[in-house]
Amino acid sequence: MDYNELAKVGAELGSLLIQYGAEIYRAEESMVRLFAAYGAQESQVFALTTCINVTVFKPGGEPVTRISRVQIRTFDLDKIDRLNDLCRRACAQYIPLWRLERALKRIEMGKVFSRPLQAAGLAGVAFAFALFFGGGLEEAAVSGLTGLAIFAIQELLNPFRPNLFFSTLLQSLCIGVLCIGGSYLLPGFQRDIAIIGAVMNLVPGIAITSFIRDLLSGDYLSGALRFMESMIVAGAIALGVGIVLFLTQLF
Amino acid sequence: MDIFLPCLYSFAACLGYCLRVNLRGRKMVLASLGGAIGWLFYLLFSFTGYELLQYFAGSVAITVYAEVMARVNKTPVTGFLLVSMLPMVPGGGIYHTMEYAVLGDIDAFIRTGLYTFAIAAALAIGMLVVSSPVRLVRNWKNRKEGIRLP
Repeated sequence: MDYNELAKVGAELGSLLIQYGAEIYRAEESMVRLFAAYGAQESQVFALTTCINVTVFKPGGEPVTRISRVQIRTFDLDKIDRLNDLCRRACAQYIPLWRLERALKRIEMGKVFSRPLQAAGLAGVAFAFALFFGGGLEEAAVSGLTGLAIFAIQELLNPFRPNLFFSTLLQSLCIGVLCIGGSYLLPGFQRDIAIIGAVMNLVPGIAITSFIRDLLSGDYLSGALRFMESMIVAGAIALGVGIVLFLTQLF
Repeated sequence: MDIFLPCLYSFAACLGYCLRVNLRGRKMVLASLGGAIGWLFYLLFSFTGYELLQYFAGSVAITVYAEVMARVNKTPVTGFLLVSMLPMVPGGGIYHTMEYAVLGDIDAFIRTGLYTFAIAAALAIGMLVVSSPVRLVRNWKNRKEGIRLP
């Protein structure tokens, strides 16, 4: 057994899990299970939302350590599902490491929804939430439109690897312009409802609940990281819509 | 009717969110149904007149549903929770908090901000009440298999 390779593949599995939005404990548990199944005497893992540290002890007691940084994070539930499945299979019956590595690569390249569908998803979320918060069809339509705009901005910026603050700021600026523009064009337009529906696409919803969950279940560092992240995003939304609100008050 | 429509809207919103987080097939519908169930429980508990309790009830209902569905479909509970929780997230609270910040109304900013925080806490505690016992059972099973977790 090549323990260097094992540590590498294990860390790869863990960082992919975190990259696609799995919980910290799931990533840690998957790695520990994998190492145990492949005959490591002992293993220590420590995962954060941004970084993973892994040490595997060979049967003689000699340690192999691997650190891997998690750079980008998105939500991809299909890939979490497949990674989980792969890990289960590898633990149940031995899969050669090189095949495991290839399977990981294949999952990483796995399919996502086509772009039009993703855009429709963003528009749908905004549309439905505008209705949900008590808006009429006008509010929902404008809100849905911002969903498409958000997607366009996201796709335009992606090649430049923008940081979360900057991209959220631009997207919320766009929401502000469209929704407040709508309130000038359409009589009786409920501006607030359209904006709230639209920002549901940007709001760090799950980060806000999961940071408390992390804190309460003892993952203090990850909880603090998620808290910081959700504050940054909320701040960017505030600034973006706020700038537009402020400008309309000036004129 | 004022129960049916909000649940329908939250179902639709969850469905849209699934497209974004790449949840596919049957799970897409099941997870979105979770969103509707959560909001149904929120509305059912409105007789208490205590909003935090409503959020708590919705969160408990969603987590129970998600844990069951995860077992049935042999898939991580993450997906169901992430999607179904979306309608419960206090988006309006976050928006109003920052609106008051921009307007310079410090009192309202702090009041709304703390209340939004309380809602998030109610949701998180609702999830923990259900998922902690589940984790205990899981840890116990792991221990039997001789796997020591960090």
